[in-house]
Amino acid sequence: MEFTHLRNYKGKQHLLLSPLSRLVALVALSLSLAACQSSSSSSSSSPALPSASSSSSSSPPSSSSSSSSPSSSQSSSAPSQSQSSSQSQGAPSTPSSQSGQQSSQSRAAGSQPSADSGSPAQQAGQDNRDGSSPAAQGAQQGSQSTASATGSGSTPTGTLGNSSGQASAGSQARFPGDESQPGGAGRDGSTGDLNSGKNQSSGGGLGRPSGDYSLDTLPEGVLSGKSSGEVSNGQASSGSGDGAARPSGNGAMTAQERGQVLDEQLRRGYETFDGFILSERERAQAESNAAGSAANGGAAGGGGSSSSQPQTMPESGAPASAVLASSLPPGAPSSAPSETFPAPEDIPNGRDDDVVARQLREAATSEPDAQLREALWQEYRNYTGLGEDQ
Amino acid sequence: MSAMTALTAQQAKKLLGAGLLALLLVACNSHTVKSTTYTAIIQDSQDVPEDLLLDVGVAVFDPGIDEIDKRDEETTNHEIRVAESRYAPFLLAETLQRSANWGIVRLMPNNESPMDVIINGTILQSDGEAMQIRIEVTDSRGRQWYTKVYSELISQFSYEPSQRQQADPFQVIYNKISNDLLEYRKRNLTNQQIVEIRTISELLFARRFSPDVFDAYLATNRQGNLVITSLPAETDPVLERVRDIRERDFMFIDTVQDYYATYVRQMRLPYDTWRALSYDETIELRELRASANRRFVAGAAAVLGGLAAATSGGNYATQTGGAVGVGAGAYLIKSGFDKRAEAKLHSDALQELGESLENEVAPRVFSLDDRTITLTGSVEEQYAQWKEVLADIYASEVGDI
Repeated sequence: MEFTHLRNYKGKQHLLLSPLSRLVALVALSLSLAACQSSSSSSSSSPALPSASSSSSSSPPSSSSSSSSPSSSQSSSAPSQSQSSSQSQGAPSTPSSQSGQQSSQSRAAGSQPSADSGSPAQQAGQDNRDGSSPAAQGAQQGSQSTASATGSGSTPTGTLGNSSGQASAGSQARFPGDESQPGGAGRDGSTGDLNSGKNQSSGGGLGRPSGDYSLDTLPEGVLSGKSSGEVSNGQASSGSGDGAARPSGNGAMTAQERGQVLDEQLRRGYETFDGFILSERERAQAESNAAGSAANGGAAGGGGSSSSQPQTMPESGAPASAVLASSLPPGAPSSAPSETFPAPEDIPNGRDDDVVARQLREAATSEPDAQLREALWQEYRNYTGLGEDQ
Repeated sequence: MSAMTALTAQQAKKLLGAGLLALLLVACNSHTVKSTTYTAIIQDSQDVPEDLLLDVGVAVFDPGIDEIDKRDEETTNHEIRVAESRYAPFLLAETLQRSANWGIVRLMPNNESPMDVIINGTILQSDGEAMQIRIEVTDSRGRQWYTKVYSELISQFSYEPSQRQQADPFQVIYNKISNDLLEYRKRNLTNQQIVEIRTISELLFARRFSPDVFDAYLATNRQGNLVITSLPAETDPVLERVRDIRERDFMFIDTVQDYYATYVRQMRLPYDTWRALSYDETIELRELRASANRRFVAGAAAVLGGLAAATSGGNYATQTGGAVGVGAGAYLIKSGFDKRAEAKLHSDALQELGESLENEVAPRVFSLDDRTITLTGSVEEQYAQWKEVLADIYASEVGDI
């Protein structure tokens, strides 16, 4: 609840004092930029997402900036978790816990729209998160700058610039975090995790393999689409947990989380597979029944019909319904426009037909065999009493 | 005078004997004994618990093209053999399933999915009249149960529509295989061994997906058979995941069964028609060939006997008889050639029939294989992904990462 209040309050503050706060934020930003020796490039690289994230991850002292990443990644899935994690981080220093909250705010505001789009956009969304967490770190320096950070973070486009800029600010803010070396080292790796793609390996290269192993080796299909964001989320949290686990000894928990994420991937794979197989079975059984009835009727039929074309396994991320729709052959009855034949002259328009008569009429008009069609019309006449009238 | 008459009578008897022999040879037809006794499927009298039922995988048969006799080569169509190699194992799998002596019985699309009992077959002969299949049975331990050749000659009666409605003309072969399998299982396998076979199948499947975890549970003994060294816990999470995947593997195999069911249904009518026609042609061909051969032999014998009588004959009658014998022998030889020509006609007819069926079934076989391979490829791709995820999970659990 504090969280929401804070956000509302800051939102209002942002609305009311936006010009002033922006000014102050700019001043604070320039001060922090001046203080930060390696931050000039990152602050100016707002449109370039990879460079921004890489600058934050490759900067050696980014331990404290990554200290907010556990909370950020967790809060994206469950806000209550982010609170608890930020509290745990708050143990060494109070400001860092605030940064955790703020980072989750900025993510909630800034990265939500991008997460709704496809997987590439989601990648960007992840990077937004990466950027936003150091941004919030930078916000530790002062409440004014924090307000500006969150305020600008609420606009998706502005997030990048702010985040990268504040990543450098975060490098300043890490100094207090550096006091706790072990934790900082662990967080370093998690920063690498959060920065998806190549940054992960760079993060991993900083000191330990972190959680990159499983992400890199996870199959492409599993990572595609919506699942990719979740995987990286989970991994980010687990990776950060790894980092935190070393000093605190919570490694088993991290493995459990990782296992849960991978289990989720398995489960999703099962669902896709089940949908695919069931639709394929349904199709095959229908064909088998059709073949059986054709054989019983004495018709041998021709081989290699279009309906027997194989279907391929969809991407794991694709919904099962899409598979069904796309896998239907071009000649499938559902999609094929049925040819209709005109009714005989003695058949009325059928406006007063009941359900059975309508079905008979439908069957007769779509029957290509003339003899059968005539038999169906005769049946229609008998049913509707036309034969008796005549 | 009387001595001369006696000599002539003796020679006349010899001549008569040679002629009778030749006639006998010509008249002698080859009689084929065809059993009309129907071997029914034997069902195990004992009520076997479900966990003691062995799952059976029937592999697509070897068409046996490499083992076709030279004599049969001209009348055997390779494409039909290939089509039969997918048709016959499906009927065998159906028969085994119907016997209720086994767990699930499936025609396997490949050798990737381990089953408790694996049946491989080779078609040695199939011409509508006779069928010969060599069957090899092994279990998941790698132990060979037996190899046996099953053959059956059927009568025209088997192609009667009323009979055909009930079963395949060669259903007896499948029934015999089923009965032999049951017999072997009952005689040679204890319940403990059955459990072992089932466990090894599961471990083999698990090892395919997570070799890091399950390699250690299996070893090979001196005979080259797999043995269980230890067992994973029933609640082993990796094993549970593998079981989930195995359920899906069965779903995949079931889907392939549907493919095969469609194929068999589509093939049944043209294949039966071909077999019924082939049955007649094959019998005609065989009889004509045999008749031609007999005529050649009898004709040659008559010619030789006639020549001997004609040359060694002391009187006119003997010489005349010898000349008649040579003439009859020549006629027999000529008729042998005629029969051979007639046989050639039937051989050509068989080839035409084969080509006709080939045109009908070859696209179906192609379609079946195409679909099976495509599905298998898709499934294997998914399996590869799961395999990687399982490896990650395992690495995560043991703390490798």
